[in-house]
Amino acid sequence: MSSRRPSGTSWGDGVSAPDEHGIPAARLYDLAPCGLITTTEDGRIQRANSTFQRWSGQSEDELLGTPFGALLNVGDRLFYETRVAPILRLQGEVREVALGILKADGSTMPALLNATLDAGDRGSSPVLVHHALLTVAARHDYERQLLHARRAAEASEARTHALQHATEAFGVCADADGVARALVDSAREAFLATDAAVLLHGGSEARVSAGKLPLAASLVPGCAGGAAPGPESFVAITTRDEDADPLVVAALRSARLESLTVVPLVHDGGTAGVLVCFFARAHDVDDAFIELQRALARQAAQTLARLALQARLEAIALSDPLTGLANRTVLRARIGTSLTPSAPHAPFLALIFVDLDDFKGINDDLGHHAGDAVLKVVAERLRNAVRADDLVCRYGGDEFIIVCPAADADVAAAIAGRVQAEIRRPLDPDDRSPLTVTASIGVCVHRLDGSHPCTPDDLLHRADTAMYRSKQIGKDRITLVYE
Amino acid sequence: MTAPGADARDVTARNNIAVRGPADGRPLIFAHGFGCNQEMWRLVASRFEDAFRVVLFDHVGAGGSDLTAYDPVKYDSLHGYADDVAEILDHLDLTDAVIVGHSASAMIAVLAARLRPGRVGGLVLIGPSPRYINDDGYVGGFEREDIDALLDSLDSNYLGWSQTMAPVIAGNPGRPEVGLELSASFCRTDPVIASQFAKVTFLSDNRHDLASVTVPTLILQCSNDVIAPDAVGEYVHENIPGSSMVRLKASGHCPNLSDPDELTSAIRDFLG
Repeated sequence: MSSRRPSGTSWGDGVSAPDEHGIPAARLYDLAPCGLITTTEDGRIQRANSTFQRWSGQSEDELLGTPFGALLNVGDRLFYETRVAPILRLQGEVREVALGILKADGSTMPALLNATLDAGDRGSSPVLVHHALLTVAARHDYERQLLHARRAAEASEARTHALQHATEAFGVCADADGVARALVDSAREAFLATDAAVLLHGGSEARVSAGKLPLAASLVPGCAGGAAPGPESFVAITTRDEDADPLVVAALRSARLESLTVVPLVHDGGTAGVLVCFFARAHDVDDAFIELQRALARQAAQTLARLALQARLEAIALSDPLTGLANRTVLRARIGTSLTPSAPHAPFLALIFVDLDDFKGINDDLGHHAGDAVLKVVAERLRNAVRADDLVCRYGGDEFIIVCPAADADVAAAIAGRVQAEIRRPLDPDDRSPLTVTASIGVCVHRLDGSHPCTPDDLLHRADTAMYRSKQIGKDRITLVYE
Repeated sequence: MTAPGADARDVTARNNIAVRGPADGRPLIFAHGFGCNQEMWRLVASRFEDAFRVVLFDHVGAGGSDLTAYDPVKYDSLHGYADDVAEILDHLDLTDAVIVGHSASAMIAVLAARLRPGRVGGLVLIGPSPRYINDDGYVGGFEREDIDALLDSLDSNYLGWSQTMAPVIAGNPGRPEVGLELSASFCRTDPVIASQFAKVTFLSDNRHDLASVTVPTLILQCSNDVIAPDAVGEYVHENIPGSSMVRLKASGHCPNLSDPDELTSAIRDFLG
């Protein structure tokens, strides 16, 4: 038995001698109301008191030579070996470490550990480590409950935060690509995704609208075009899946990734696109993970639907429902902004006022339906006759106005000439008795050098007057006025 | 070869890099594992300063590293840490460097060697494990529940941690030099970062990366290492082409602390 106790340590022959109160030190050691264990520097048990033997259900013979870490349940063993033991050696002691002692019957006894490094007598004897363990069963259970409750609360808070953050980001998005970017950012933050991408389905095409695909799109489900994934679908692939496509696994590995997930952007039963997340380390894909991905994707899809509706409403508010041309609201705004010179080499603004000749006759003879058809054809021809930057508006009944930025008298006259020629063409070339219309056109050219300040109304009035002059002197002609 | 976004000055501060020994010595980079920081090497690194250019650093999130550089997305896998090691190699312009990686850093060293084949000339892997969790036919030593229990243990010991983070006033009587050099940053850690590093360390699977190692590699397997048992060391040895494996008498997972003499001579023998 002497081999158990290293010679030359501080527990020489006198350990069992009573102290001045008559209490033998050995008795105090053995029966102390805490577990006492001494190990070598590298953790092998040299001695354990009776209290610990009783607690653990193991005899001293069974305990001797065992690594201290082996007394612990596995999770705590990991913690002890990687964190506690290094600190103990470097710092000389550890205090109040919560650990679980594995008992002989397989159950775990929660304990608090204090341990001290004992360098022996001036370094001449072996280094030892003394451990004291106190049982904390009731307290431990309570702490674990608190810990799990706190974790649940934190997870819930994190989910709420992610959704709230996404809602705020979506709220300020101006277009679909902005929504896609906000969703990518939210997903990376909420799921720690190494990469993420949002693909929006336009027709049969799926386009990467934000983020990046580190794999060829053809390898990612829902990203290769074709039918959009169903609203209920959720895909998770990891490199460890035995039934995963080997090409996908190889592509993931070469991109230093371990897994990917795909969730559709669903709103009102329709799929607007997909969110794809890529992970350098495969995460647990549990219900909470899937539900949060779905919730973020749903919010994004709702935002996309709202933006699409908003765009439609705006278009309705700013356009003429019959011809689709801009309405008066847009016209006034455009003239207003065009009055500021933007092309220094051509500081002009021209307005072309187009009024169909004898349109009332068409309405009266052929009916309003035919009249509307004529207006639609004329609108289309006006669009074709102008330059890319010009704006064509329906001003009222059979009146149209074209705003031509940077157009001097020659340019404005050329545009007006094309307009006149386009309107004159037979309305329906296939009709045997072709119907034609003409227009009286007034052009006003304004010089934007500040020498003749004017308002949008001034310009409209001048163009109207010029048009009226064309009407007065025989219709189907162009009158141009300029300053 | 400098990676984009890695300003030279940033790398030094970010990873709390210390360089010692002769400038023309062969570079020897000591990479610490989960649980501590470069303090882990204090009894080993100094013994190489006579002939080697010794590089010590802290992973971001540990020790004296720049905690503001901690990006939970980047550091959600060992690749993020490997990228940093690659940047350290670039920043110090090291060639033929030997990375000595302990525990989690053994796999980080494997990944870094693949990123910088022109700079890394050898690997010393102490207690490596490419996968801690048992898997169909593979023995890693742990079940998933064990790792969850570790995370519980980390969280339960937050209070205990703040104790250990306190600067040490009383020296270590056995090694008086230890106590004197300890700083306020001694093994300090942020609980949230530690928890994520634990997940990354113990839930990663780098078995497929072993075959990519092409440099001379030494695997050092301790006795009674409950973190990286013998079977795991043998697996690493079998899967790294041409690697050699030496079994240390040192017991436990941290021979850099428990038997620096034996560890030092094993590394010396490998370096020749």
